[in-house]
Amino acid sequence: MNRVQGVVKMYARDKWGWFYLPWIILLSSFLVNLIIAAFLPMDEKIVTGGLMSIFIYMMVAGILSMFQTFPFALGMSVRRHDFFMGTMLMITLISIGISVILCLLSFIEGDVIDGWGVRLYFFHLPYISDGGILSQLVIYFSVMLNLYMIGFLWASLHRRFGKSGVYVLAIAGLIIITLLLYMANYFEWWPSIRDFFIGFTALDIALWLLPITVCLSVGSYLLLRRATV
Amino acid sequence: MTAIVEAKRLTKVYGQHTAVDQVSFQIEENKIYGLLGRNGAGKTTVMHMITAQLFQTSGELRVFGAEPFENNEVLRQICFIKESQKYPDSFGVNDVLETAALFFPNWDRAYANELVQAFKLPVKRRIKKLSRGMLSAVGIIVGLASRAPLTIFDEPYLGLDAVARSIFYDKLMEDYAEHPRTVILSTHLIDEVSRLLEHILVIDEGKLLLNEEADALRGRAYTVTGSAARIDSFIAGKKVINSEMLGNFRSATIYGSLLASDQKSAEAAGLDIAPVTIQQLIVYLTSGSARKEATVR
Amino acid sequence: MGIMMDDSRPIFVQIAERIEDDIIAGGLPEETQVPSTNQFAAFYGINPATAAKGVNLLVDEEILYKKRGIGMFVATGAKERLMEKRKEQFYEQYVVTMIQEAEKLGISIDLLTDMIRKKG
Repeated sequence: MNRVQGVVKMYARDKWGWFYLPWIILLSSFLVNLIIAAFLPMDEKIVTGGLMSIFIYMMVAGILSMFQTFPFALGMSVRRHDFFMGTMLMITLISIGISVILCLLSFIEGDVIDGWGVRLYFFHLPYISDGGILSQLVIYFSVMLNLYMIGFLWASLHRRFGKSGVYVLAIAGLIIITLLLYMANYFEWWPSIRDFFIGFTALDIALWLLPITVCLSVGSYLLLRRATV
Repeated sequence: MTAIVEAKRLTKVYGQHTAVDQVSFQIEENKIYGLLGRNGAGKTTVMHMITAQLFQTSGELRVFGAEPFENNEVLRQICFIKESQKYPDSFGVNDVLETAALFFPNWDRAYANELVQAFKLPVKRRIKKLSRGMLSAVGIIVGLASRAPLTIFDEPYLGLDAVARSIFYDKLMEDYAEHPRTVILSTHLIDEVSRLLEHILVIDEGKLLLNEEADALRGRAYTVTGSAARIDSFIAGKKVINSEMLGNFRSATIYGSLLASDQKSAEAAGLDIAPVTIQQLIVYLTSGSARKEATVR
Repeated sequence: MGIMMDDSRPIFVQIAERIEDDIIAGGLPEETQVPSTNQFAAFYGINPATAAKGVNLLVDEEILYKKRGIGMFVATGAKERLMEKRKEQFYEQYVVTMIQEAEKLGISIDLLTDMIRKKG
């Protein structure tokens, strides 16, 4: 029995957390939007950010993997390395699966039942769907993986250094961000920042996100190697 | 005899606090060990280091002849059941058992089911909804059915009643007889388990206090009672590990086997001699630190 | 679980004593097979290694002997030898102590023998 596969199977036992809950959250968000759209007396397109919910959920899943599954896996005599590889494999498969379904829904919303008959654009979003279905797939996948890794890294930091480690990082991060914002204002960087991003398509950004995600992943592996329960 | 675990001057320091202090011992194959000592003595820390869940500050540790850290050849042979084990919130009892089946090469599904019946465990119920005793039973089932060459139980029966504990002891001995393996059992209930143990390690304040065969500890100490003056002359030059006074009446517990000559002189002096159980012996040996603590505070 | 063991004396000694008792009482006649160490371990709720040590003690004293591949058997003459051993122990443990206690209480040897006869 390959122990990395074992970790994936262990995750997959949590059907609720991986297969039902994300869709329940997304679907309830969608239904609320659908009802609102049906009753709104206007003719313009209604574009909502409700799709974000499933992405935020992935970040929470990243935190939970580390807090709940890691100590359990160690208790099952799983190596830290195998836990990490299994986790990466699982989240990659899950991200691909969810992205494919989201693209399918986007296609239905955009081209089959336009706006679900009520002008609601929940899955087929401007900018993100600009580059066609394949680029959309890559965008969803990359963002989802990235958010999961942010949650996972955050929790790994907590596992490795405890509460104080997280506080130190949070404070340091806040200081750096405040400093950068202050500098951006002072040196009037905003227009050039805007121009910089406008120059990129959503796909460009998603592709740039991938190496960042890899860095987050390597970082959390290094933390996890020395994490204790 | 093959050594399954070899610890040399194993030490774990947390800031100012030395949890485990230069502990050296060997665990031999297919024996049942008792790892005993008071709360906070360092037992759990030692077990966490053996299973590579904690890292030693210094010292050497070999498990199945190798470093346990990130070593699948070692880890897959170990099953560590601890009182503080966390489970994913959504997992039910059957999820835990199925996961154990994935990772423990010797997992016996039929035996696990038999144990589930014996402990009357609701397999469909979520771990979160189990009582403390049922949660302990889950750990015990994983520990037994994994048939890991090195099985470690750290206080495995919090919340279990006397009947369930006795089921655990019976099942452990029964399965051990059929599938010999190395077992380390850490517990406070020394009287209950001492007869299951072949070897006893006692840790006190991070130091290894005793490392002996269980049977060698039986009769290792005795208590003499009688008039204070006669007791005083009898205990002169002997190692007294506990002593109590009641008026002119005194009792003293002496560490060491009762020699025939001592027995004769005690009897001649009209002193009563009573044997000391393993539990009493360990309580006397480890409560010295309790007194020290009391004076410090 | 199991039958009570005295936790202040080595258990292997107690196991040997119980087998001896059984042989003396006729529960284990000579040339019959004694239970296996695992059976002893299960019955008394003790570690099999400890039970084995108790059995081996009696093998060393030639009370039991091993038949290869079958198990342990009670040796011929075991009962008689045990009775002899126990008689010596009886003298040491009971008679000597009794006489010491009698002396303390000022009971003469004559009075003591009278007491024993009365009871008998």
